[in-house]
Amino acid sequence: MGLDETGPGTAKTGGDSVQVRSLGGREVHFDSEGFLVDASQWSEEMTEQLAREMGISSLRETHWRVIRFIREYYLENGRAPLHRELKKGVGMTLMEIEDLFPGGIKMGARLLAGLPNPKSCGM
Amino acid sequence: MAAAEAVEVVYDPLPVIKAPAEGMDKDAIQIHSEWPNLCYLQPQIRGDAEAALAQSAFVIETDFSTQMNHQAPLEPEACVSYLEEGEEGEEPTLVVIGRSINIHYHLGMLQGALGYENMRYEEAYTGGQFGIKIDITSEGLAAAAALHFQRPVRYIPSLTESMYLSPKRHPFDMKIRLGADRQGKLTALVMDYIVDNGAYLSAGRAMVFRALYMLSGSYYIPAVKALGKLVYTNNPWGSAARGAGPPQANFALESAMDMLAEKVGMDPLEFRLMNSLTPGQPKSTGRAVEQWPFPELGEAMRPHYNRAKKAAEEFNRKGSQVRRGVGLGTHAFGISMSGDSANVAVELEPDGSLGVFAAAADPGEGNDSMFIQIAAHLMDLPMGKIHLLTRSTDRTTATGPAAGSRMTYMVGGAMVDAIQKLKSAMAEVRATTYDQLKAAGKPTRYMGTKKNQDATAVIDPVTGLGSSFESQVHSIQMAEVEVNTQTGDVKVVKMTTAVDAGPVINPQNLEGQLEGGVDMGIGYALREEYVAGQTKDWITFRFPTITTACQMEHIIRETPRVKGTLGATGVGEMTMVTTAPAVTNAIANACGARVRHLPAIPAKVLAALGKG
Repeated sequence: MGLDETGPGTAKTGGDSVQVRSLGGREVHFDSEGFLVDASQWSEEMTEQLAREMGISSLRETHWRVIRFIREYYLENGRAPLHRELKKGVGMTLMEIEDLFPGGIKMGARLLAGLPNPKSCGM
Repeated sequence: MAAAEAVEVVYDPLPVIKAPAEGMDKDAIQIHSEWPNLCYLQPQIRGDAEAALAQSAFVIETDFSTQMNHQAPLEPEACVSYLEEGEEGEEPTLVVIGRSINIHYHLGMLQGALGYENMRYEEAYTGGQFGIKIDITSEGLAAAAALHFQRPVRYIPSLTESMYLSPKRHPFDMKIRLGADRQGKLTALVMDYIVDNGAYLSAGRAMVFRALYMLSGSYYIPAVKALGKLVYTNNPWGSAARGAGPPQANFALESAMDMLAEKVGMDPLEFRLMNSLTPGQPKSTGRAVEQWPFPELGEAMRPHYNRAKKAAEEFNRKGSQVRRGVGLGTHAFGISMSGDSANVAVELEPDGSLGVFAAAADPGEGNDSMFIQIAAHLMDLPMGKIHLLTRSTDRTTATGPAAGSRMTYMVGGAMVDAIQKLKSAMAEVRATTYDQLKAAGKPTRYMGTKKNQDATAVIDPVTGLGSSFESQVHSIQMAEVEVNTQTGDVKVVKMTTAVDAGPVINPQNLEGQLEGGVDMGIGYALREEYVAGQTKDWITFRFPTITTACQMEHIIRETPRVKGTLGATGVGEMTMVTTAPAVTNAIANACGARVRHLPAIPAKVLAALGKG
């Protein structure tokens, strides 16, 4: 059976899909769930725009406290902070942190902090 | 009991899809409602392969298949899970001790499945896993039970249960056409392969594109047209298995290379060396290579090859029903896929020792010794002063799986980067001790990274061209076999492996990988097959024993890789990728029996001799 005999849209082709966007004047690569493919491409400037797309009209000090803590923890430790470390680090309850981000901590705060997708296998 | 006995169960069996061809039939039942049975496909198209074949002086057209196989890890799934009391006001920590080779990734899976965040995963000391531990199974059961019953749970399935529940090596069905011109130069490769994904998706897509990334093996092939398909069936689910894709596809290519060499009228070694890729030329993905020390490896093999051919000729002069043959298999195995990255933290400790922090599993591969040796060398410290913290999610960086032969090249490379940052900081303030570094106000902890050159690239969905593996380990294996032409029995007399993985870090570990890989490859070539419902233990699996072992010799070359970790790349999977074609090529050389469908059991050898 040739390629064209499989019918359109019946099977997925290609590797993991990557979206290339122009943010802050440079190309930035995102995976299909909006996480950065390369964590080093993160910048505070792009975070405001990503937050608006996530449904946060404006990032407040409490948002930034969480985002910066997660980002700095990641750069220091190479992984996301545990919840107990996050609570202690930002001085908020888990509920308060979860409420700040529509996607919660894993899919919201971590995304805005430029961490890898927790569902990616890491290679 | 009476109520239970009163229940009458009536089964309405659905049709069973036993093979990909059945799964792709237009009337086939769709196994998963959200995916068609043909769930993934990827072409690779470079040049006009059909036109090139039409103009070729010599063309081989045939088909090959490889079997479903068990990875045969050293131990079955085994795990412990328990709740650990937290600080006051904190919920307890659910601890899972298992045999994951990617503890942060699997921790995330367990957290999502259980709906419980406060967890820690610890990797137990485990043995060789050969890909099977890229998936977790029993950990989910144990962790759920521990959480539900609020008491420690240990779960260790029997070997038979383990074989039932764990994933297997994907079977491949392959159609191949390979052409050469009058001088014996390869002209084009056309290859279609269908991968039996089994009933569930794990690493099936990776099998398809890994095979494409390495499709042209050691050679320069000007035109390529390939199509890989992944199809759901009701068979056991497939997943990672040592080599993961290339052992299957390379069996077809290397078998076809021998068949084409015969048609051209060339010696198999000369034919391979003549068609070697050279620096600047592209692999099948279109990506040009910087280094390609394959011809030198071939020259290193040449005297051994000549010796083996002479020995076989002398043996065969006896005119016995047992015939001796010599066969080759080669490959250039890719390491560090596009998008791959690794990070490792190092920390200078008050007593002058060095801590290395990374979730870098060592399931019998020698990764621990690799880290310790490199760190001790770079820091000029005794090896006892290097402390590895690699097994707990609480203290490690998330640095990807111990898979794809990537640990030395990627994670080792990230550690080298971290140590260089530490040493630069120490040099900057002229510190030679922890106290001096602290007094100068410098951090004592540094994060190192290594990224693939194609950090964000992906394979082109239409052409299959573009990104590729960054580094290659090269190998040529030579099998010397004796075939009983009356019974079909094959005895491997000797395997000679020539390998170039860059500078050797630990000779004993390298030899262990080479010898274990060869033994595994011989089993794949001649005996092993997982048959659902029939394969229940090592006997029914036909696991190797000392009676199936053979003499082995290794030829080591150490070409430093430009982007390697102190020049080194990896070797763990390479060692079995070339074994099966070397063995079946040797069978064909011995008696003319070309076995195209693995494993080459006596009945298939006899059938190939026309005695079936």
